[in-house]
Amino acid sequence: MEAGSKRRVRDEGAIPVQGSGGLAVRGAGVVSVHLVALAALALPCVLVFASPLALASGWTETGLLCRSFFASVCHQRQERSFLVAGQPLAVCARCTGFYLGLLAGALLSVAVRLLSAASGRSACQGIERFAVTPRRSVLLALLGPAVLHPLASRVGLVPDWSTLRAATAFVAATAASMLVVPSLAQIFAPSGVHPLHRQPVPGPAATCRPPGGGGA
Amino acid sequence: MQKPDLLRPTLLAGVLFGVASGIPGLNVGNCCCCLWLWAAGWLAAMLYIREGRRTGYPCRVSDGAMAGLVAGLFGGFSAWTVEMVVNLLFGEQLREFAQSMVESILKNVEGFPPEMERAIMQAFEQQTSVFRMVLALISSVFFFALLSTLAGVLTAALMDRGSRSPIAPPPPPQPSGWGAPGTQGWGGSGPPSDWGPAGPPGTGSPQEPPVGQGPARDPEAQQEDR
Repeated sequence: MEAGSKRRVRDEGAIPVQGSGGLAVRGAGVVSVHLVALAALALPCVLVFASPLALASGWTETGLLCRSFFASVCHQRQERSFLVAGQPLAVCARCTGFYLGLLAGALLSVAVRLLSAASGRSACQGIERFAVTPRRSVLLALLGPAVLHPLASRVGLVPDWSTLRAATAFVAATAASMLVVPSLAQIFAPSGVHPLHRQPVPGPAATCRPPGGGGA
Repeated sequence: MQKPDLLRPTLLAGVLFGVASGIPGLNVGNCCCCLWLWAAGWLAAMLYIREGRRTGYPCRVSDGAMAGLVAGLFGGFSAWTVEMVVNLLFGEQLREFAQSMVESILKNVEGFPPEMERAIMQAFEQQTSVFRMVLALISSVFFFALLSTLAGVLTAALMDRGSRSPIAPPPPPQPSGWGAPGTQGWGGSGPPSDWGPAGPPGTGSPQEPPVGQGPARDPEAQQEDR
C-alpha cells in the first residue's frame, strides 16, 4: 500500500503541465475515442430535437419513435418541456439541459484537445487540469445546483422555471462530461492520453522497503 | 499492487439495479432522476475502488468510468431481459390496462390530432414487434451505460481526493530493538507483548497503546488524573 502511494505521488509530481509535447496528442487513437464519445453524446441531442421537428413536419411516426427512445428515462410531460415548432421536445427541460450539457462538455474537451495538439502545449490549462484531476470542491460546486434545485424549488426557496431546471442540469452535465471523455480516452487509447491520466508504472519504488526493515 | 477484479462488482451492481429497473413496482425508483441507473454506476465504482484500496491499487477517475460503463452494459441488458420476461408473462393485461387509460385520457383532451391518436394506438399494437424489442434493447443499454458511466466517474472523482492522503497515518520510525528486518512493523507481527494482542495490519494508532496496558504515562498527566 505504501509503495503504491509512493508511486502515485511520484507519478503525479513528475509530470510537467507546460512544455512542448507534454499535453500533445500522441497518435490518432485518442482523437478517435474523443470523436466516438462526441458522437455518442450527440445522439440524444439529435433525437430530442428531431422529435418535435418531425411531428411538426407531419412525420408523426418518426417523431413518436424518437420520443419512445426516451420513454424509459424521462416523464416527457409537455408542461415541463420546451416547445420547438409548436411541439414539445422529446424530453423535459431538465433532461434537455442535461443532454445539451453532455454534448457541450464533450465538445469542450475535444476542442481543448485539438487546440493543445495544434499548438504543441497546453491550450487551456485549467480545463485540462480539471478534466484530469478535478478538485472536489469545484466538482461539488458544479454538481450542487442540479441536486439542490429540485429540493429547493419544492419547498419554494427558488422558482421552478424550466430555464433554471435546464441551466442547473446543463452545468452539472458539462462538468461530468469533461471528466468522462478523457477517461474513455484513457481506457480505449491508453498510449495517447494525458500523462497525468496514465496509470503509474511500477518502478524502483515498488521494490523499495520502508525504512526500518518493515515491508508492507 | 494488484488490479482488482472488474467483473464481480460490475456484474453485481449491474444485475442488481438492472433487475430493479425491469420489475414493475420496483422500477418507480427510476422516477427520481433514473435513480437505479445512477446507483448501478455508483455501486460498481464504489466496490471497485474499495477493492483497489484494499489491494493497494491506485484507482483513478478512468477506473470509475470503466466500472460504471461495464455495470451499465450489464444493467441495461438485465433490465431489458426482465422487461421482456414480464412482458411475455403479463404483457396482455398490462397493455389492456395502459390502453384503457390512454383512451380515457384522449377522450377528455380536446383538439388532440387524430393522426397522433392513431399513432399511439398503433404503438400499443406494435409493442411486441421485433423492431420495438430491438429499440427497447438499444435504448436500455445506451441509457444505462451513459448514466452509469457518469455515476462511476463522479464517484471516482469524489473519492479520489480522499485516497490521495493515506488512509492510516504513516507509521513513525521504529524504536531500536523493535522487530527484526523482514517482519511487519506496526501491524503484522504486532507491538510488544505488554501492549496486548496484535491487531490487524493498519488498524489502531501505534502511539496510543490500549488503555491500562501501555508503557508508563507522563507523570503530570497521572497527577491530573488523581
